[in-house]
Amino acid sequence: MTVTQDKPNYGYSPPLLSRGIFLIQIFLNKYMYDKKTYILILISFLPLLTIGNIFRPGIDDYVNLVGPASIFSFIVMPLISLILGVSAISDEKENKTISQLLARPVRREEIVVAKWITIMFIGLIIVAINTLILYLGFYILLPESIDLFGNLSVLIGTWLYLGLWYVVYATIFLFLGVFIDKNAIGLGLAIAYFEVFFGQFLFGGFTGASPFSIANHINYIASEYFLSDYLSFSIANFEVFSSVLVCIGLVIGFLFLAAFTMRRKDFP
Amino acid sequence: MIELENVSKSFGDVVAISNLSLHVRAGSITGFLGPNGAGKSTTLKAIMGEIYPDIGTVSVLGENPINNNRLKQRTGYVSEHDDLYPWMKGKQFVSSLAKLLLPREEAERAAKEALKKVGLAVKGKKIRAYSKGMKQRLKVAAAIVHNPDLLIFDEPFGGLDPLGRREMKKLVLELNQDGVTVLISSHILYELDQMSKRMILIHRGQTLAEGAPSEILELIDQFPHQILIHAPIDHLKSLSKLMIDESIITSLKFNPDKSATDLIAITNNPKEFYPKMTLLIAKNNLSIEHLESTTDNIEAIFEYLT
Repeated sequence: MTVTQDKPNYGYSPPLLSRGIFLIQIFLNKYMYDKKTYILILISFLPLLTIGNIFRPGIDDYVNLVGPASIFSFIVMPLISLILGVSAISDEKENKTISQLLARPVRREEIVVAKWITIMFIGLIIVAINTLILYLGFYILLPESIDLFGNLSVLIGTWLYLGLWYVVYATIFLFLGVFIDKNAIGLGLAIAYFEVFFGQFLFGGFTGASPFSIANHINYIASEYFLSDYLSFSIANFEVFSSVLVCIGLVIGFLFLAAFTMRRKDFP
Repeated sequence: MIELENVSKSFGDVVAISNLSLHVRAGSITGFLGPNGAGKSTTLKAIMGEIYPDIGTVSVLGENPINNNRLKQRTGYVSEHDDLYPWMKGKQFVSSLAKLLLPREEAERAAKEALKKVGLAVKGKKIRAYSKGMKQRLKVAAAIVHNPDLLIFDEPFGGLDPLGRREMKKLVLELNQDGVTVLISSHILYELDQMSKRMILIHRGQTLAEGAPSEILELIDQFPHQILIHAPIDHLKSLSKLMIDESIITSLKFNPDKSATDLIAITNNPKEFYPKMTLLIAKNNLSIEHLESTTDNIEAIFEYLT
């Protein structure tokens, strides 16, 4: 076989880091044009509908609205992490665009890691916007409740709390999207609510402090590090550092599982 | 260049390919022909490393295709699906994917060249606004941007109008002249027989025949061909008698759906049938208004061959 001189066969492969950056660029571009991104931002207006009944409002009420057992942690966060996490890879499978990626010199594991970085970036921005909307919503609708600049540490604390929530759950759901070909969203929703409701209450003997609940570990970390003045939460016989390790372990473990599953998967 | 040895693949209870072997020679255009659901796409995906065979071996340019970056620098794949990013513009799509294969500055230049080669010069239009033909050409541009040695096309003519098909065929032939080995699948025989140097027939996940298009066509010609003849009733009667006397048909019937001016002739030897019938018509001064082969059902042909 001959290859003509004026049409060189390049035989070049960009280094791993460059490939990763180019992949992330492609994926980020997708989220910029995806309606889901904007719907997830709009969802944050929902909790504002509930603040009309607050008597003598204060910053505690803002924390209660986004904190443990709130509308935000029970409804908004599972939705954000589920939709971004599950659809990260399953959208590529459904739209068949995974074929374009698999036909390039990119390892399957690289696709998973690049997707994970992208959804972390997008998700954390969405969570930051959501918390800011709520914070400003409180300030505008209940002016005496929040000192706009004086309570900035609370705004950052709630962002860190929900951000941690998002990082852990979205990674689990990313794995689910790789592992399951159909109805991954439905199963993810079932897992999220089973974990949030039953993990916290049933396994914890309705004390709300079971070590078998991921949400409890996140609440524990938040009460110690991010919102220590506003939240009081602990898991019996458990150090907060152990909860940090649990969260790190879950993220690394499920990311590894997602990459491993992707490597072994067929894309018919 | 491509070697598949006894490859089988099932998805649950569905056997997609079974004990399939095929060989593609370097520098050739190989047609991969089979009815819908025969296992063509599964075979091509196994070649591209998108699926793992249950048993058997797949070798492309001497290497295992799964997760093989070195190999992907030398191959291009045009899938049967609209696997494009609709929010992107054409050039952005080709150059974004080219950056995974080429140095950054080279990728932009190569993307421009590839688009020029496929005759796609659309500026400022998002892919979602492209026609089927434009999307098909864009997919080809993305597949050839790095000048691969091997190109795999999965049903590239699907949804194209006759002009689009002709242009696509011309493009495939040009690429092959440039030294690119091409494996191209279709479920329509006439799309492949003129451009392919070799053809592989696949049915129910197994290779049925492999050889030059002339050999394959000969094999297919053994299938009883059905020919519809439309002519004035008197001429049709005379022609029927002559065809029976000359023994160029195995059976004859009037089209039950139409008027008596339609006749269906069945022959086992179409190669002999057409010249002899032309001769009979000319010698006896008969007139024929319309004549066509109604044997276009490739699935029936494959059923017959197995």
